[in-house]
Amino acid sequence: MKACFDVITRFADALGATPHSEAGLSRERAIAHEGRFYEEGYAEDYGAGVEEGWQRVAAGILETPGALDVSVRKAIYAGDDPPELAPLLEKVRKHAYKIVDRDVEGLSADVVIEATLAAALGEALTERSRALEALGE
Amino acid sequence: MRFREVETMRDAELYVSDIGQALQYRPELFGAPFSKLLQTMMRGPSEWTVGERELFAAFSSSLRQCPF
Repeated sequence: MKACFDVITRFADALGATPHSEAGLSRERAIAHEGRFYEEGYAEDYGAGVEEGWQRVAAGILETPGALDVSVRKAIYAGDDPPELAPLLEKVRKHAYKIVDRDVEGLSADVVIEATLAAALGEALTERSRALEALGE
Repeated sequence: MRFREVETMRDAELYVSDIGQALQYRPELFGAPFSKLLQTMMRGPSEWTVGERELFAAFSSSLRQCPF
């Protein structure tokens, strides 16, 4: 579960998504809003389980055709960043909340999204593997 | 948001959060498989209650200094 939120929070920070609190929603209304998303969006559809779920997420991020070549995204996932994206991706991995407009200046939305997701996925799954190993699972 | 094209539902009558809109942008890349995984985690069969899982989610986000 932590790995899920490690990915989505980095994604939100890179895009500069407005938090519910700044959008005028109270904490209670924000929870109710996201609750509707869960309850109505995918109700009773739990897919094939967590492991296959992660495989599908990884396939989407790393193999869907897009602005960045698949080989570039897989390299970013493994920690090998193209020089022009390295400063942004360092922030994505270490402290995504510090990303500012200047960090994405001159980059397209698709490049930022694909690179951010590849880096975030790599970090999150590496940490998840370590945690499961520590637990003996 | 930094990228207007990601605001996929900005004209919707009901409020849709930025992150909700971002998940609808090129859903095959991330939003569709991720939402299904998240649903499995947050509402699927588990030893943890829904409330406990929401608490874990809030704690995980706070570790990343994320206010969502």
